[in-house]
Amino acid sequence: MNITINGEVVAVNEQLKLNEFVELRLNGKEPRGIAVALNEMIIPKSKWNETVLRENDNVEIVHAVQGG
Amino acid sequence: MSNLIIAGKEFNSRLIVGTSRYPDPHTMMQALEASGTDFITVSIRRLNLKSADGQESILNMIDRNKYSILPNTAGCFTAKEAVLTAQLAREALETNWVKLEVIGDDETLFPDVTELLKAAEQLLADGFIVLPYCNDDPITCRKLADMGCAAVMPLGAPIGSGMGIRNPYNIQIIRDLIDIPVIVDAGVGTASDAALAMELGVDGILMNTAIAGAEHPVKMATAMKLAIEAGRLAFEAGRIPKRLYAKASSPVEGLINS
Repeated sequence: MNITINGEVVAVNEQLKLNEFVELRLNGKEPRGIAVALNEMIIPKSKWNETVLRENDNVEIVHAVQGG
Repeated sequence: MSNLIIAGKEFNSRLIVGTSRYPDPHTMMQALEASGTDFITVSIRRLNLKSADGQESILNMIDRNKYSILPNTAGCFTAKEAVLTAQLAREALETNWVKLEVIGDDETLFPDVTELLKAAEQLLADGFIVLPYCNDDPITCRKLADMGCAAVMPLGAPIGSGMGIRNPYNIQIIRDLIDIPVIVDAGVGTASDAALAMELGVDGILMNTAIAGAEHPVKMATAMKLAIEAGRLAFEAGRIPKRLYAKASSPVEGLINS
């Protein structure tokens, strides 16, 4: 199935959970200082492992950068 | 000189500094140090998942024991976007403080007041400590204060314009009307602008471009630190009233020809 991640469409396995998806996308990086939104709703870290992704879900992974 | 207190939290400096647009991270760190600030703003952006050349996490640069972090909602045009961005910031940075920005258009970067008020209401209900960037409009400021915002942050001039305090009279009215901290956010160009704002009695100043964009950011950070201290001291000292005509400062009694 297709998932949009930070504006880019990627193909992933069915029944993938959000924590698995994030881990996959971070590619070994520690999930420190990041936050995740699913379909424009925040998903707290504690809920990632009970959130199953569906076709055409829109995921945003963000972090804090220099800003004014 | 008294310290800045927002929502019960005491800061060592009345200067809040943005972390964007410095020539390089080293200069930023030096400028932050020189400014004397202990409160800095950051933005929330997409993590670059493809390559290592994305924007680096601010957490890799900043010692959080030294600096309190104020995430902003810069770039948000609607209450919905701003609320989600604030929630993401809270999750990523484990702080419920937010500099709430809801922008009306790209060219002026003036706040969209209706969306700002809506976002402030939602974030306050969600437990955030809200510091809204707003127009230099006393009525909007009073509404934000009445709602429960921790401070109001009227602009001195458009973001990044360096035009200074374009409407000192409104800033003064806002200061008189509002009991919570007033922070002038945006517009300061040089040290005298900062001193003027502080002399009007505002509690602090938030700036970024004036320091980061200066030819010598570290020197300008020092200048801003001194200007804000000088302006605050002058405010606390209580200036003399302005008079149209002279008033001799030397004694008028005992002149040799009298």
